[in-house]
Amino acid sequence: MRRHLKISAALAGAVIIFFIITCFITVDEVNYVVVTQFGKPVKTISESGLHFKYPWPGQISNRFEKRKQLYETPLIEFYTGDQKNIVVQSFVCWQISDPLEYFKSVRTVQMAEQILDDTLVAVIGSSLGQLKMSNLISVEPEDVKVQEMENNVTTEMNETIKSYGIRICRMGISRLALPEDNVRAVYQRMIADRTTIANEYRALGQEKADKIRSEADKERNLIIAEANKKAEIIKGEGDAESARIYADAYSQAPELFRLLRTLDTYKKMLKDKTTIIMSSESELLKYLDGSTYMTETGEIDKGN
Amino acid sequence: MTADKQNEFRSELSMLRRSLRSIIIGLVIIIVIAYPLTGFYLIKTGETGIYIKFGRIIDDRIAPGLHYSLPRPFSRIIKVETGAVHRFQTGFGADLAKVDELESDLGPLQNLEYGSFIIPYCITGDKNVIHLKIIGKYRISNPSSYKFGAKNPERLAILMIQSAIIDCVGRLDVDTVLTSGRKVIQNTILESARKSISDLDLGITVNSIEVKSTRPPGSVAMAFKDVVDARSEAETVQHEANSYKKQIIPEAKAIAARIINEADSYKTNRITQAEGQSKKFSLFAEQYEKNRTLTCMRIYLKSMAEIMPSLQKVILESGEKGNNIDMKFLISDQ
Repeated sequence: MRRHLKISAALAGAVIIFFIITCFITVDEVNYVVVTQFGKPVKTISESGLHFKYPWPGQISNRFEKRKQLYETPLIEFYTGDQKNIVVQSFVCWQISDPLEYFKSVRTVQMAEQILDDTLVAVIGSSLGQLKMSNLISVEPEDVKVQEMENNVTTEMNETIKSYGIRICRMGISRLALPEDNVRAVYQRMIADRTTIANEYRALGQEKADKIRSEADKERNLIIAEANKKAEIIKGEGDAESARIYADAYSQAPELFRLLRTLDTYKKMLKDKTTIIMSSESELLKYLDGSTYMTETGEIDKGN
Repeated sequence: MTADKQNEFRSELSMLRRSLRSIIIGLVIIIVIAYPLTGFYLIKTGETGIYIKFGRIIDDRIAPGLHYSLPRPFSRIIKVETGAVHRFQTGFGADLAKVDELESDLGPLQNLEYGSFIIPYCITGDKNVIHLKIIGKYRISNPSSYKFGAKNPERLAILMIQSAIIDCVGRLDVDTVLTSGRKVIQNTILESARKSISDLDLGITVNSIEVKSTRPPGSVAMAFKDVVDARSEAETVQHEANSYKKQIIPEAKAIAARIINEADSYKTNRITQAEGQSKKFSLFAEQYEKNRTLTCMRIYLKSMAEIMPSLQKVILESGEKGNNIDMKFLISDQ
């Protein structure tokens, strides 16, 4: 009998301890706790530490993530204001702002993500519809409004989902892509662009090289032509100077010069095979019959 | 059972009960002593401790060393590596190893329907497409913000950096991104990352952002390389032309010098020759002045002596005798 009493006492003790333990709630830094009484929320606890409630099953503590959470969308195709399609992958950093509201209307993370996804896609769609493709990508930095768009989406989403007790801290685009066909076209265009640039380099290089070569040839010809011209002048000077020297000299005795020159000419022009017809009266033949010679000296008799 | 056996059994049972009791008492004593000792904990160098009691942060900057706290489940110690520099990698598909891996699983990605979706790329401001890899280094600067601020701070940081990359690269042209823009991109993204991360209070500080590699997509890489080749070819061709020029001009100058030299020596020769000849003539003229007739005759006869021998001569009688010349006689002599 005593033993049965001891056991019952021990069991009762254990049960009481159990109930006492459920009166304590340890709230972590990472949690919100909503205390419900038979399904109805009675208390919201945002501060960490030790708190009290009525024991189980009178009151139950429901825990929710207090930290900032991340939701990422898949790749989704959108249309910009100027009818161009773009594929966007985005993310939101969100947080429970009102635990009680969250408990009432959302309850689970899956539900929250569903709400976020729907709202996000709708808001991005409408934002992109008001922008042009050049607001997303352009070499003019002032045109690009990506950050502005991200801020607008954040603000708009916060308006919409405030009633769910959720707050968006930050929305961002994690990837921009072009639809598949467009990408292939882009590749082809890139190849064509590069080929054009390569051809330009080659052509320009060749053009410059040709120019250098032809200029070099031109200069070379110029140098030689100049030299030739100078040479002709020098030669001319030489000719002129020598002519002057000759003329100076010959003018001292012009008849002598003429005689010598003419005789020289005879030497050249009268050669073998030339026949000359001479008169017997010619000076050269003067002494041929011996008479003139004799008469000069006066010694020998004239008649033969 | 007999009475004896009952007695035996009872005494054995009580012995068992007694030894069981002493074991239990022993265990309780051990637990009572050992349990509080579990409150000791060690923070290593490079770590920071966060002391949490009943869920609340009491101290979030516990320095390295040996400390004591209430044992579990009353308190909890979280250790955070604040000393180490952590590293992350992000970007858009510049990891060639990953590409190879994917291609070995899925086949050549160019032919796949969603080839370009599987390997991410980044769009440049002039609607070209490139791959880009970024390495970031960061430190945990605020342990409690890091642990209790966001659920997945690293992933969040990486996504915000990707957003910064999209924004930055979307403003630049492809050549800048692939070549000279590296520094600009790094600085812009570092600044943007730091701001976003501190706005969200993630408790991490980014030390550096490095663009590890950028490359054009595989299918266009050849065309990009060809541009580089073309540029160096253009330079080579110009270089060759310049050496041609360097060679040809001195050659021309040498030829020019030669031409001038030849002309000079021609001039000198002509003048010298003229001087010689005219000197010779002058001397001769002096002699001629002394006795003209004699000199002339002498020259004349000397010349005739040279000329006449080789000529065919026909001597005719003078005009008084008559003008009839026997032509036959003439011709047959020839």
